[in-house]
Amino acid sequence: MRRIGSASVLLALLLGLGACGSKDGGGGNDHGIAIEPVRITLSYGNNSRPYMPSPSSVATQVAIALRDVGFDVTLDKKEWASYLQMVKNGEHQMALLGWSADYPDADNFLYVLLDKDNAVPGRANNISFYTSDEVHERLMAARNTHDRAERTRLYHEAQEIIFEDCPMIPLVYTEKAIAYRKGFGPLGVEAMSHPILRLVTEPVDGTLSYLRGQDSVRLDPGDVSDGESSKVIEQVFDTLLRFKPGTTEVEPSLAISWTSSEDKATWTFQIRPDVKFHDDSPVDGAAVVNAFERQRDPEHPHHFKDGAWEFWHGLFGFVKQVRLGAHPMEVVFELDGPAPPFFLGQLAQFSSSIPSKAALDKLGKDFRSNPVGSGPFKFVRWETGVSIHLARNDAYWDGAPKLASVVFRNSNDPTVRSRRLRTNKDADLIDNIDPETVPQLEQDGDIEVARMPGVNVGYLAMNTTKKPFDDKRVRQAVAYALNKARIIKLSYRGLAKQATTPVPPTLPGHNGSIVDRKRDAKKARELLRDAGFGKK
Amino acid sequence: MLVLIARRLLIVLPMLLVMSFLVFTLVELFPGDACLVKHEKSGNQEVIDACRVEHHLEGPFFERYFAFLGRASDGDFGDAMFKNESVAELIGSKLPATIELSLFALLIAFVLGTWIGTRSALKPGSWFDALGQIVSMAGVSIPVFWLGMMVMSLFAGEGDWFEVGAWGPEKIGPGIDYSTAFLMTESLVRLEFGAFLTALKYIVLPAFTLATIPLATITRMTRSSVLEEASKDYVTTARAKGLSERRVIRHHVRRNALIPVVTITGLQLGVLLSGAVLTERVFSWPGLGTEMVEAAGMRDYPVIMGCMLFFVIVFVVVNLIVDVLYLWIDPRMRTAAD
Repeated sequence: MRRIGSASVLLALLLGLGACGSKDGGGGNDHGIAIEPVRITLSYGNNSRPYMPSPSSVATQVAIALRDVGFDVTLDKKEWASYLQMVKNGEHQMALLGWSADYPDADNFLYVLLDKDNAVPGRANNISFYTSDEVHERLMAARNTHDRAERTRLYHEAQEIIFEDCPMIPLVYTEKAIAYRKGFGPLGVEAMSHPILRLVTEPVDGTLSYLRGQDSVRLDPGDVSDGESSKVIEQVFDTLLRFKPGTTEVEPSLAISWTSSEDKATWTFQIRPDVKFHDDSPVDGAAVVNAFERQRDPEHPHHFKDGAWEFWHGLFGFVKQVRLGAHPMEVVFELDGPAPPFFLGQLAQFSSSIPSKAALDKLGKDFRSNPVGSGPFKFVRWETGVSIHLARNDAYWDGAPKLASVVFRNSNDPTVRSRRLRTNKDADLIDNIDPETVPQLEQDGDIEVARMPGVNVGYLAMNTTKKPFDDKRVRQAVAYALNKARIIKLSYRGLAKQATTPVPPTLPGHNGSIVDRKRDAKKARELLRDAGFGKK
Repeated sequence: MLVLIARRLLIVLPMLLVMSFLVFTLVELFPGDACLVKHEKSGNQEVIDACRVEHHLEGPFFERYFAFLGRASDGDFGDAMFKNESVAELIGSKLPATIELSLFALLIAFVLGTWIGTRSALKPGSWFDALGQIVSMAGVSIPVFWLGMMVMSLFAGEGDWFEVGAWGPEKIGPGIDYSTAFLMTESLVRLEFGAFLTALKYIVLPAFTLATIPLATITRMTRSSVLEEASKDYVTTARAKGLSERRVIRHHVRRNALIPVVTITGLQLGVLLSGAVLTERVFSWPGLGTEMVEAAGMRDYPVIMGCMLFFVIVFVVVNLIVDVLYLWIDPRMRTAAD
């Protein structure tokens, strides 16, 4: 008994010394402010997402930082489907989540994640349940103007209000990284799409094996929402506009020019002449109209009944009708009101791809596994679960690609993908790289790694309808407690940038003048004391 | 015997009913919502509602259950929610890989198990007997997911001994136009030995891992059965006639002793087909087990229901076949059964 007693005294002494020695302290008295433990639960999902490859690690880092200033954190790790339901219903106190852009505009981040319209329990994307009218007004005003300076001003203001109210803490903008074998290229990371394979000039007439996580679900551009499908669709189809490589700006593709009416509610596009689909049918106004109308009109013969048409619902709800214009190569979009300023960007993402109308007529639902577009590569065949084969479109309007063919294969284990790239086993290009393996790949003399900040944000949401986060001071205390640099170093292996606002810096509208709260344990404790958690 | 088969078949129906109810209730109790997972980024209630209606997720529990029964009795298990296939097509395309894996595992377990069992029985108490017991017990005690990972890291690391992951016609026999998804069997039938060998490289590790489940049962059954048979009078007679020990064992003892072993082995097939789930998951084997785990993760209700019920049917049918075979092999049982 004696020995145990003295041992525990020794242990307590050591712990005490440790606490005194550490800079920010855990003892509570270093700053003269004693805090009653603030009990909170931090929930997170179990699966790896592009904006958060290892949620457990991030959660641990957050918990450590919070405990340090007087929070009593319980970690609640949940299986993904249960987690999603829980946060969308608003049953959490504090949760880790993120967002990747659907279209390159600040609206896609601020409106989706922080507008009161999206704070409806059951389907919330605004899982802070933040309902500021000031923010809502500005976001609506920004939607209704095409004046760039005015929009920037409105978004900047909205971000300042959000920063002050602190309903969520943006943690990181993750970098997207791809790795490929030397001898292939040039290959770069794209902000709004997957690597653009038509730009690959080496090796001439070669075959590129693209090893990714999973097989595609379906290859019907209008009715797809997963990245593994859009990855293939982007190579097989063209859109009216496309993103300039390496940017979020648009340039002409199948549309050579466009005009809009005074009220911005009618948009007219001129279609590029003499372009053919892979089945030799012409790319004309009728095909373009068909591409959009089949998504919009539930009675359209190509609007397959079992489809979700998710992108249309999510992005193009304001489109009244798409019809032929004055001549067969002119297409008119009629909208409910003025187009949102990000309208053109939406026309450049993959769900706006133009499929061959003739092929849809002929194949019906089978089009999903036999896509016919006008893009740089033609679809050849698909072995479900194993591989998808594409071949060069020699007649491509923008010059035939140099690669002769592309094969997509899958392996759901990121370490296996890295290994197969290094051992040259059916892998010349890999994506969604495990941050752990990046240093290894960068050292490999035969491998190139390309990195770029993605258009996404990983964040810590605080449920503003639940105690104690209904108090702004408690939320700010959390912000002062965090050490984002440490999270990036330990949980992202450096493959991320520190986030200050929900809008990533790659987008216009990002407010770069906001100065982030530095880790300040004293300030955090003061805020908690003011919020009524001080020790009596 | 026909009476027995009829009687057993009659039991199948209520059994399926009970099982379908249990599974349906279980799936119902899962937290999470497939439509939320599917439309993760969509905050649009219409989209989510439409998805729920389309996949029969709206309405009172019993109403939906009976509607499900109605559709299922017409053979319609619905469409997979995350794949562009019906559940029936999905099962059809994934089942061959599971069957090949299970049968190959069973073959390994049977050959190894009967060999160890027979040798152990002939020299009970010997070091071989002890070792055999340990090996088979270890096999049944070690969880397959752990064993699978160990086996993978030992034999399929950087070297080229074995392949790990999903096989496919592309990987096994590029250029061969497979007409079925039984890749290994078809390679053999077509006398494509190169492809067959590659297929073996893929299947050996998961099959060996899976084989450890039935190995212990088969070994112990063989051992006790051979022991029992070897102590019978006719064996003594055979020895007294002066037959060689080899002949006594091979022609008399083993043949009789194997009858119960065959039964047990057959029974294991049901266990294997469903027990392959873990093994398949560890090895990313492109079979029904992997599919079902993925479906569970995303709450793909139609696929979960379809696969579970399919496994139930397989289990019942395999048991029935084994019973019938047993009767057929051993006429004494027929009178007992009638």
